[in-house]
Amino acid sequence: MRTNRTSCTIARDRLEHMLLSEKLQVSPEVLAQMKRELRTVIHRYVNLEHTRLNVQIQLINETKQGAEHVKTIQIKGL
Amino acid sequence: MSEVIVVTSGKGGVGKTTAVANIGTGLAKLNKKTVLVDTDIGLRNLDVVMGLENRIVYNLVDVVEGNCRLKQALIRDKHYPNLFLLPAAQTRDKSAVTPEQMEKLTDDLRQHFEYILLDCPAGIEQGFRNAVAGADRAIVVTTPEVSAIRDADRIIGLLEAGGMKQIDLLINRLRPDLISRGDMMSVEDVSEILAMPLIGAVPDDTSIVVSTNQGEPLAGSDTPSGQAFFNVARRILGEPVTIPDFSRGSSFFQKMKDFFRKG
Repeated sequence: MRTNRTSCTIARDRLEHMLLSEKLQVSPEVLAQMKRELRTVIHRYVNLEHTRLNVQIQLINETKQGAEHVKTIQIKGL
Repeated sequence: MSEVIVVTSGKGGVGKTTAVANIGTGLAKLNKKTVLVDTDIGLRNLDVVMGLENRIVYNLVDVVEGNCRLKQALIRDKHYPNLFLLPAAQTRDKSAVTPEQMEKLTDDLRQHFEYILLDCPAGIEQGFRNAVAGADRAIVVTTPEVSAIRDADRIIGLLEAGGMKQIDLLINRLRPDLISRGDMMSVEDVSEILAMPLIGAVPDDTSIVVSTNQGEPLAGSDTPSGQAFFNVARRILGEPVTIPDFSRGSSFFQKMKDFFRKG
């Protein structure tokens, strides 16, 4: 499945991984590990043989100017 | 009612100045009284792209420091009487003005203009903070490259954290031939990754080089990029103009291929 990947797909995957690691402030290796573990955990309960998973995480942190600062993070293609 | 729009990108060389010159020319063509402000103090370029480099007497820093009145520093465009340029100083640096002074300047400009376009310097330091200080909305320019998109994402984060009300995306230098063979990210790819509303998609176009050489912005002319930039100006005015996706070439060969595929 990994053969014939166009350079466009490679660029997209690299970017998504890089931006996610910057947003979550974890190193790219730790992020890759987290992705694997997330998939394993979900897989333990749900049958996902040929499914691509999109996980959405909402980080609600510091209050800025009276409004809660909500960061939504998408983890695609688990 | 006037609107202050900052054009920014993070990464240098993606086409901020070209975008400002052409969107501004487009707005002037649409009969809007527009001023272009070069906030890149020390590295001014908007004047040469507009072809107005020989007319500069006073600059932005002179206005801020009170060496001249605002009107004295404004340069009228060669072709459009309702288009003006406020050039940056060349012999000073970014620390010559503060964000508060920029806010005051943009508020003064609001009295005279409908659209105020700010050409932001590359980077995320003081020059960037100065440029965004007085802006109502931002246009983030990027190209379909990994490095430019990464910087655009960072800039979007900073704009959001600073409370920017509206942020739109402009994708520059798209190559339909590379996109259709899978060697360049498409408009859809880029806007999905950055998750911001799209205000324009501009194809890579050799006429831009010619236009910059001559100091004549080409918005509205019969060229692919001229049309695309003009459409950005129309979208700023609220016209619903559709954005082509540039995912396939429009060459004769491509059209024939499409024809036979359909058949």
